[in-house]
Amino acid sequence: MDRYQFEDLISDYIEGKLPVAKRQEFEKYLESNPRAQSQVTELRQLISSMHSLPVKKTSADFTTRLMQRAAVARIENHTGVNQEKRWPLIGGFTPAYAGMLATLLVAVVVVSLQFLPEKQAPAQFQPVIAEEIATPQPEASSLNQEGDLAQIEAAEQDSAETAKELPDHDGLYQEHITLTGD
Amino acid sequence: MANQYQFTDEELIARFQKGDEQAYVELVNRYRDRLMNFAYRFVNDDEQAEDIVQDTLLKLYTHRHYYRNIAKFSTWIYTIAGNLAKTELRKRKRHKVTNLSQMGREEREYELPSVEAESGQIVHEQYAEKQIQQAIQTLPLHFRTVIILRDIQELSYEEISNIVDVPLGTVKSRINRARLQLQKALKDFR
Repeated sequence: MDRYQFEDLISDYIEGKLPVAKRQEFEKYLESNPRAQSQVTELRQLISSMHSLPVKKTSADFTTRLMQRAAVARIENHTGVNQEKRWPLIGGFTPAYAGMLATLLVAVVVVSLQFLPEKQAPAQFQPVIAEEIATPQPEASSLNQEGDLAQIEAAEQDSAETAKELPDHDGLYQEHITLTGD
Repeated sequence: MANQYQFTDEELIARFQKGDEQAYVELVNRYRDRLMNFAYRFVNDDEQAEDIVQDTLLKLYTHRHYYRNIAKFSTWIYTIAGNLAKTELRKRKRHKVTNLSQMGREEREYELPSVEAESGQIVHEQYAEKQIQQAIQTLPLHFRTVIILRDIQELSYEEISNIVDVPLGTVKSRINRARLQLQKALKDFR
């Protein structure tokens, strides 16, 4: 047992609350340590002195003054003066607490939403439009600024012809499903 | 306690809650000196201690319906008194800081309390009481509360644990440390 352990157990020893084994260990420490012995003796005396301190008493008119104040409080209670405003309870809580709890709840929900993984949009099948396949859109750079109408018309005509050779939209759609398994 | 009185504290508060004012007077008579002793040891001032006890017992009158028969009445009333005493000390501390800051150095030194006994005027017991009382005032509030409740009011550890609302083990440890600190403070006085 060291000094710290001794000090931790000193009150329990004085009050006779140490288990037998601990008490024997404590007394062994005391035997070999006269300073600890005198500390125990002094503490015992201190506790005893505190038990026997004179009891402070209230003054003689204490109860009279108290009853006067109680009478005033009773009158104020009847007339509603100084009466605390009582708020109705919401779910067992005062409105202030209920408000705080509600705010806290909203804050928790908002914060937890930030941590949810983003929902990935389901892969959507975009039916390939025949015109898009058939007609490579002319690049903006390929069109000269004057707008060669003749060239554009020719391109449109070509694409219309090519479209006739390709299956219809539904056919393409079915084909795509079969291929991708979607 | 139950053997000493016709009604227990809990029976009296129940009667008072039903409108029996005589039960209130009985509770006042039972607790006024006990609370006075507790408050005085805590704040070290007769007048302030009596004000604390007045306020505590007035609170018992006005807030009688707040008591629920799940705790001992003594626990409830000591909790109220303890809270009022702590509030009083905090007020005093603020006041003291203001006053000290407004004083000159010499005045400050003059105002500091002396613990020396005037030899021949005070008998040994009174001197010892004064020293213990002043040593108690050096303790932090959480130590002061538990040591007064245990070694002066002689309440059980369980009651103290309920009053200060901390676990039993913490109460035991605080009382032990408070005693050691008090012992050291008394040695320093001598």
